[in-house]
Amino acid sequence: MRLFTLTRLVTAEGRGAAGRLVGMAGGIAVGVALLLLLLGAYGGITSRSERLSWPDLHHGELTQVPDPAAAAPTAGSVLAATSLEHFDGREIVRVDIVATPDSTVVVPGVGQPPAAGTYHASPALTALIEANPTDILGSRYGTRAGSIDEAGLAGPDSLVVVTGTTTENLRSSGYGRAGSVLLGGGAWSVTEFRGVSYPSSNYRTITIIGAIAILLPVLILVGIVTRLGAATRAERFAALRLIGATPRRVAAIAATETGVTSLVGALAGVALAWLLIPVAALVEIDDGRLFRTDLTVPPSTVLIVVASVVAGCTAVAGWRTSRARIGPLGGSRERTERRPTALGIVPLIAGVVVLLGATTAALRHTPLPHTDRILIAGFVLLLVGLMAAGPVLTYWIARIAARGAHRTAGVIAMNRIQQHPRATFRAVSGLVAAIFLVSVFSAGITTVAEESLTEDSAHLSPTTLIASLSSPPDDASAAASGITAVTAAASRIARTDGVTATAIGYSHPESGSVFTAADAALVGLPTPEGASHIQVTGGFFGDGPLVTRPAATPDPRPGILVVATDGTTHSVERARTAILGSKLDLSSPPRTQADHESARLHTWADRYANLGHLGVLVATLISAVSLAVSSIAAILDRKRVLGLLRLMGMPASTVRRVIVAEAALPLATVFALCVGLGILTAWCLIAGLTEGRRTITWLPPSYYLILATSLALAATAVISTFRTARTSTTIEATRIG
Amino acid sequence: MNKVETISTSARAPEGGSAPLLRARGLRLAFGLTEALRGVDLDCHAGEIIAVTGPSGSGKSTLLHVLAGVLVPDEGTVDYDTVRLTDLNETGRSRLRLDKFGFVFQYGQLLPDLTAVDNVTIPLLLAGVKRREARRRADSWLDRLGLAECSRKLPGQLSGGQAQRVAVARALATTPTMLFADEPTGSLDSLAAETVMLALTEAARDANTAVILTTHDPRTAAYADWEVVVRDGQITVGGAYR
Amino acid sequence: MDNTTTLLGLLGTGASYGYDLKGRYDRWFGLKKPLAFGQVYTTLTRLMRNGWIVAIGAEAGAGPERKRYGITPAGRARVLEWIFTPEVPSETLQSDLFAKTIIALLLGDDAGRLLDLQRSRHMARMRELTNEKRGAGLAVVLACDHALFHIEADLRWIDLTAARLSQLQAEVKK
Repeated sequence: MRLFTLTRLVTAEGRGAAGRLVGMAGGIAVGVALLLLLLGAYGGITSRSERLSWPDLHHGELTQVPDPAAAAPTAGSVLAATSLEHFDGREIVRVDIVATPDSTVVVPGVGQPPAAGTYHASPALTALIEANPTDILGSRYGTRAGSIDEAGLAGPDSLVVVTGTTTENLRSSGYGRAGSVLLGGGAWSVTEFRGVSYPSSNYRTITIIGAIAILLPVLILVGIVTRLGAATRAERFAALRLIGATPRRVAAIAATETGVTSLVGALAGVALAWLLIPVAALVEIDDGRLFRTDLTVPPSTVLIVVASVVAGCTAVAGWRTSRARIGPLGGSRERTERRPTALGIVPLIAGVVVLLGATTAALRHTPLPHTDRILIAGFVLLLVGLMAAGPVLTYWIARIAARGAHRTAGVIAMNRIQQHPRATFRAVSGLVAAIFLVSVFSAGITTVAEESLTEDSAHLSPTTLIASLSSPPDDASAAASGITAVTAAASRIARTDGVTATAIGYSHPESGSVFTAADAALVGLPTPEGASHIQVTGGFFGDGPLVTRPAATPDPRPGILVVATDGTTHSVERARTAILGSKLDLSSPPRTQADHESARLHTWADRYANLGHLGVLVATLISAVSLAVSSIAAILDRKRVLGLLRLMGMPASTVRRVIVAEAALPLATVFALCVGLGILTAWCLIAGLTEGRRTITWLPPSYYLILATSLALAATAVISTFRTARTSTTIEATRIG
Repeated sequence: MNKVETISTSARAPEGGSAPLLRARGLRLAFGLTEALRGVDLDCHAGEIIAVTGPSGSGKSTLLHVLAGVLVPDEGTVDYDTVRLTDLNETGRSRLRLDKFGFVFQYGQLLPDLTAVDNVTIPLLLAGVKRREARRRADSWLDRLGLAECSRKLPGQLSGGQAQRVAVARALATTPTMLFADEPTGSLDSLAAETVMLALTEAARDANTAVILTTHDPRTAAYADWEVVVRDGQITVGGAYR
Repeated sequence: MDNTTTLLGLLGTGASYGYDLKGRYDRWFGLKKPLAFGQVYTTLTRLMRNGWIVAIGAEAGAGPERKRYGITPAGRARVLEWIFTPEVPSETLQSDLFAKTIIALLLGDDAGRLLDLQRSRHMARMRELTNEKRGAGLAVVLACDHALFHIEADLRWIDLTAARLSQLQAEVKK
C-alpha cells in the first residue's frame, strides 16, 4: 500500500525516529498492560464478591429457622448456619450444614454437603490445620473429607470450612462480619446457596480512583513520548508539503504512523499483561489475593481495549497533525507557547470547592445525592486542575526566578521555562500526579492507624477468651440442668493445657454479668473489697473500661464464660478449640479482646493499602521515566545552540545545572500544593463517604519514606540524562543544523 | 618591466616583526580516511584580521576549530601567546576559550528562549560577572552595534543580520584577544552581511581583538587584512610561509 | 586581450607556419572572432622586430606564408613575464586571463600559480575598495560596490577555473 510505504519512508527512517517509535510503542504497551490488569482486577473483585458472599446465607433460596433443633433437612434443602471463628488473629468462616445423605443441594466449591462429623476446608485452612496440632485447630471440625475448590472461595488465602453436623449440634450463630461478608446470624433452611456481586459501592469508588491514579501517569508518558523527535518529523512533513502533499495526506501519514505503532504497542501490552498476571496475583486487594483466573480478561474485552487504544491514538495523532497546520515551509523556528493565563487554575479551585462542598454537606448529615460520585468527580477535577494549574504557577514562579537568577544555568533555565511553561511542566506532571496520589492514599490509610490495646485493671487481658452462652429455656428444671452442664464444661475447659482459670458469669436482671468474687479475681477482673459477688458491666470487648460493683447473689442463669490463658498463642487456640468442642450452646464463638479489635480495625480503607502502594510505585516509576525522556528531549531540542555554547567554553556542568533547574522548578512549585491538596482530598473522601464517622490523622513515617523515594527516583531520572546531555552537545552536534 | 609579485609579500601582515599571538605549525588532522588538514602553518598577530577561504570541504572550519582549541590536531602545535594550546586538556582549553576567545557562528547560535541582552550576558555570567553588571555591559555592547532597540527582543523576533550582530556583541562582550568567526555572513544577504562585517571589524579593531574568520564570500574576505586560501587541507595562498 | 603575447606564447610550444599558428589561435581564442590573416602577419613582423622570434628555414624570396617561425630565449622570457604578472583588476580582464591560462597550460607551466597570483591581486584590490567605503559618502560607497561586484565576478571565475584546471589541462593536451 502506498500510504504505508510513504509513512515508513517519512517517519521510520533515521536513528532518532526508531527511538521515538519504540518509546511510543513501549509507553502504549505499559498502558495497555496496566489497563488490562486493572480491568481484570475489577472483574475479578466483582466475581469474587459473588463467590465469597455465599456463606452469609442472605442471597440464596432460603428461609430462617427459628429453632434448628425442631427442624429437619430434606433431600432438597439443608439446614445451615455460618459463624466466624478466630485462629491466631485470622478469621475463619465456618459453615455448619445439616443434610440428608441423599441431599441434592450443591455447596459452592464442595458439591454434595459433607456428612456429619466431616469437613471440607479451603487449601489455605487445610495447610493451617496440618501445620498445627489437632487439639489446637483440627479437632474443631472433625474428619477431613475434602477441600473447597475455587468456585467457593474468594482467593487462595481464604480460610473457609464447611462442616457437616447434626440437627442437635447446629448452633444458630450471631451477627458477624468477615472481611466484606456480613454474616446474618441465625440458622437457615437453604435450598440453593448463592452469592451476590458488590456488597458496597465504596469498593467501586476506590477501584475507579485507583485505576485513574495508575492510568494517568501512563497517559502522560505516552503524551511525552509521542512528542519525541516531533521537530524532525515536522521538518519531514514540511518537505512533503513542499513537494505537493495535501494537509489531509500529511495527517493521514501521521495517523498511519501512530496507528501502526500503537497497534504494535497494544499487542505487546496484551502479552505483557499476560506475563504479569502471576505477579499481579500476589497483590492483596480487599479480601486478599485473587486467583489468576480472576485476573484474566475475556478475549472480547482484550479486543475492545486494543481496538479502542489504536483508534484513539490514531485519531488524536491525525487531529493533532492537521491542527498543527504544517505548511510547505515548515516551522523551523521553535514556536513559543502561548502564555498561560490565570484561567488555568479555575479547575483546581472548582475541584476544591466540589470536594469541600460535598464533604461539608455529608458532615452536616445532609449528604448530597450520589455523594460518592460527586467526590470522585471532585477528585478527578482536582487532578486535572493540578495538571492545568501547573504551567500557570510554573510560569509565574519562573518569571520571578528569572529576575533573581545570576548564574548562567539559572538564566538559561528560567527563561526556557518562561517561554515553555507547558512543556517543562509536562516533564514533571507525572511525578506531580504521583505525589498528589501518594498523599491521598497515605492520608486515607491513616484512618486505620493502629490503636494499642489497653491492659490494666479495668480491662481483660487481650488473651482471655470470652464466650457468650445462649439463653437456656425458661423452665426451671432445664435451667438447672443447664447450670450443671455449663459448670461441668467449664471445669473440663479449665483442665486444658495453658488455661489458667475459668469463670462463669450469670445474667444480671438489668445489665452485665455477675461473677463470684473468687472467680473474678482468678480471671483478672477487678474485685472490690469484701464483696462476695460482683456485677460487671461495660464492654468486654474494649469499647471502654469494665465497671464492677458489688452485687447480690445472682440469677442462676449462666450468660458468659470467661477463660483466662497463660497468654501464648497455642494456649489461647487450644482453649478456644476446647470451648468449641464442648457441648456448650454458644450464641457467639469464643473471642479475645484482640480478635475483636482486629475485626474492628480491619476496614475498607486498609484493604486497599496494598493496591494504593502498588499504584504509587507504578505511577512514580513511570513518571520517573517520563521525566528522563522529557529532560533528554529538552536538551536535544537545543543541542546545536548548547553545543555552540560549550564550544565557546561553557563547561558541561552548566548544561547539567540547566537540566536540574528545569526539572526542579516546576516540581518545587507545585510540591507543597500536591501534598496539601492530597491530604485534603483524602480527608474529603474518608469523611465524606462515612459522614464524618472516620477521619484522617497524622501521616505515617512510611509516607515520608515514599515521598523521599519518589524524589530520589526523580533525581535518578535527571542524573541519568547527564550522559546524553554531555554527548549530545559536543562539536558534532553543532555541525548539522 | 614589472617585477613578478610573490605571494608571501602580497599576503603578509604589516606586523611582520613582532611575535605572533597565535602560531600554528604543521597541523595535521584526519577524520577516518579523510585528511582534513595536511600540514598547515599559520601566524596571527594581535589585532590582525585574517580571512580563511577555500572551496567547501577544503578544511576551513576544521582549521578554525583546531586554531581555537576546539579540536585537537593529530600532529602539529598551536601556541597562544605563551601557552601551548595543543598540550592542554579539555578543561584547560575550555577555560582558555572562555577567557580569551570569542566565537561567532553562521546561524542559530542564540538561545531561543533568551532576549538579545540575556544572550549577550551568557559568556559574562560564565566568566563570573555579576548579573547586574553583565546586563549593563551587554546593553552597552548592543548599543555600540546599533541594536539598542532590539535588546529586549527574542532571537525569533530579530532579522538574520540583527541576530548575527547580537552574536558579535556576545562574542566581544568578554573583550577577548581573539575572535573566531565561522561563516559569519553565510546566511545573510549582501547588505546585512556588510552591516555585520563592518560592526565586527570595527569593534574588533577598537578592542585590538584579532579575528580569524572563515568565509566563501570574497566580499566578506575583503574586510580582512589578509587572506589564506585552503585547498585540500593545505594553505595555497597566504599563510605565514610558502 | 593581448594578441601579440598570446601568439608569442603559442609559438613557445614549437615552431610553426603562420597559417598553422592562426588555426591554433582560433581553436582556443577565436571562437567568436577568428583572427584575420593580415593581423597574424603584422603581429609576427612586430615580434621579429623585438627579437622575440626568428624565421627558421626561410626559403629566400618566399612570402610570409612560406616561413616557419620559432621563439627566441628573449621571447620565452617575455612570455613567462606576461603569464606571471597579475593584471590590474578591470572589467574586461577575463579574456586575457583565459589566454594566459591556456598558454601556461600549453607551455606546461604552473597555471594554478598564475591564477593564485591574480586572485591575490584581486583580493588586494577588494580590500582597498572595502577600506575606501569605510566612512565614505553614499556615492563613493555605491561606486565602490559596483567595482567590488565586478571584481568579485572575476574572482569567482578564477576560483572556478582553478577548480577545473586538471580538466582543462587534459583538454589542452589533446
